[in-house]
Amino acid sequence: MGNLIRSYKMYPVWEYEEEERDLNEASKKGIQLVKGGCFHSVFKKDDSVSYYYQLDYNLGIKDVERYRESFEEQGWEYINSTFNGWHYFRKKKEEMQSEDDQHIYTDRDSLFEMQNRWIRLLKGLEIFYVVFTILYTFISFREPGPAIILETCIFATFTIMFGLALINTSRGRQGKRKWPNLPIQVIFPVSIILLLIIPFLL
Amino acid sequence: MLNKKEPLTESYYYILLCLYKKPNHGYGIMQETAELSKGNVSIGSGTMYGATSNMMKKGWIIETISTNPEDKRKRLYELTIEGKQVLEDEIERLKRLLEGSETVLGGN
Repeated sequence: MGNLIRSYKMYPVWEYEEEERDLNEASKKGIQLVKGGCFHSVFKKDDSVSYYYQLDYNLGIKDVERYRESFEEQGWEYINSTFNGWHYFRKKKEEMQSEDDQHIYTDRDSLFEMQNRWIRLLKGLEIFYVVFTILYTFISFREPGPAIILETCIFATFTIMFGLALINTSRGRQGKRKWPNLPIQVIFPVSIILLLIIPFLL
Repeated sequence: MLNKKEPLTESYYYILLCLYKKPNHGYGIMQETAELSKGNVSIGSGTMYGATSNMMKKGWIIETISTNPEDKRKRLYELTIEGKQVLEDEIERLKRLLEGSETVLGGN
């Protein structure tokens, strides 16, 4: 099993298209995804073939068999699913006949429907972060201290990060140029570490 | 039934149309759609799964099992009376659109 490669690159939900792009680029170089995940993915070296990868988001599928059949009948090989509702599929490049063959969503309505499923979750989280940012800002003014100020900053950063993600998703749909997103790959681990070491610093 | 009727998307329309005469499986619907639309409309797997799921929820189509032993694909979709009505209403709507257009374009 020496030819397995592990990757710990994280992609936030709003960058799922970047993940697809990266998987396709890797496939061209002979690095094929065999198991996709939120926190770690497994690749295999095989340059005899080139795949086209697609991700689908659908949490709580009732009829898994019908779901997989819908993809397999059109030549998509099911790879795996993540605990939080992402499904990985791939198709051999040589089996593709047209541009449309590359996409599992072929009209705007169905693509937006899929995106709306996770946008709803993002909006819920954004409300949560906004409420906590306001609450913590208020407490910071009344009882200032390093811990509370740091926590407020973390909540504020998450509010901005999720807010930007929502704005950019909407801009992308309108065909407008996206603003830069904040890197969750950095912010998420740094925040966890800071929150864990705060009690020891004081 | 829907209170306010919205136009069907092309994918929904072709799925219903391909089921009008007889039950069919997803792959068959996809191929027939490509033929009927002369290659202009293609229905990808995600779109197909989403559309068939929604239409089953609305009661426009149902899932049946093929009894033909030669059929490799056992899972078929079948149009319900309600689904047939939705398609016929949509065709009427499209006809009216075309008639209106003819009046304007053919009037000079």
